Amino acid sequence: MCITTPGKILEIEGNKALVDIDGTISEVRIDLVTAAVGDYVYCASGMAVEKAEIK
Amino acid sequence: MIDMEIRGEDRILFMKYALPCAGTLVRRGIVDRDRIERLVDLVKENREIPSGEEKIFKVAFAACSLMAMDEKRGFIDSSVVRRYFLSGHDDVIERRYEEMGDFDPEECRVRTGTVVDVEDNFAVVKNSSGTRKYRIDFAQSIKKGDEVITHWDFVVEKVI
Repeated sequence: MCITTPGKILEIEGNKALVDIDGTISEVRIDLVTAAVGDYVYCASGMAVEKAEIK
Repeated sequence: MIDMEIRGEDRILFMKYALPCAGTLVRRGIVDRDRIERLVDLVKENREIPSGEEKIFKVAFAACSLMAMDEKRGFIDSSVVRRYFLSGHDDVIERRYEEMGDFDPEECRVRTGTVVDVEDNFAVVKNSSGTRKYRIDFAQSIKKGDEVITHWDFVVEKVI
């Protein structure tokens, strides 16, 4: 179950972020990562599970 | 990832629920089957599981972490594990199926059923998907008539 997809954080509001994942904008929970707008996070099922070191 | 703690028996329970999913990870080349079978043996024998192995199941562990956070718990306990796998898990597998499409979501559902027979290392269980054999590594003392939880090809535990 655990392949995750990287996406770029476009906007953060509270514990949720709008993330661009391969051109699709999704809302994901970001409670489990420390990340800011512009950072990349690995996402699965509406959750950011890891920060990605992609620039 | 912000680490949410899971301890002792709660960790073993998480592995009992999560390990049946590992076939999907083996097929994706994320882990090898020997590592999974070693973990199955450790759980079966109630021995210590190496640190961090629960995070093989990144998505399930993240979902349990969020549930524990939402409930203002400082760690993942058995009630979070059961609530996730018995209710939240179905939504996650629907979304994962849309994202990945490489597993059978019906096989991945956690179900309740009744043991109709027990043979050596298997139990025949009748549940909403029909009647078939399941491994009983994690629930070796079950007997005919017991209500049990199944996930993929494993009996996870007796309904409590």
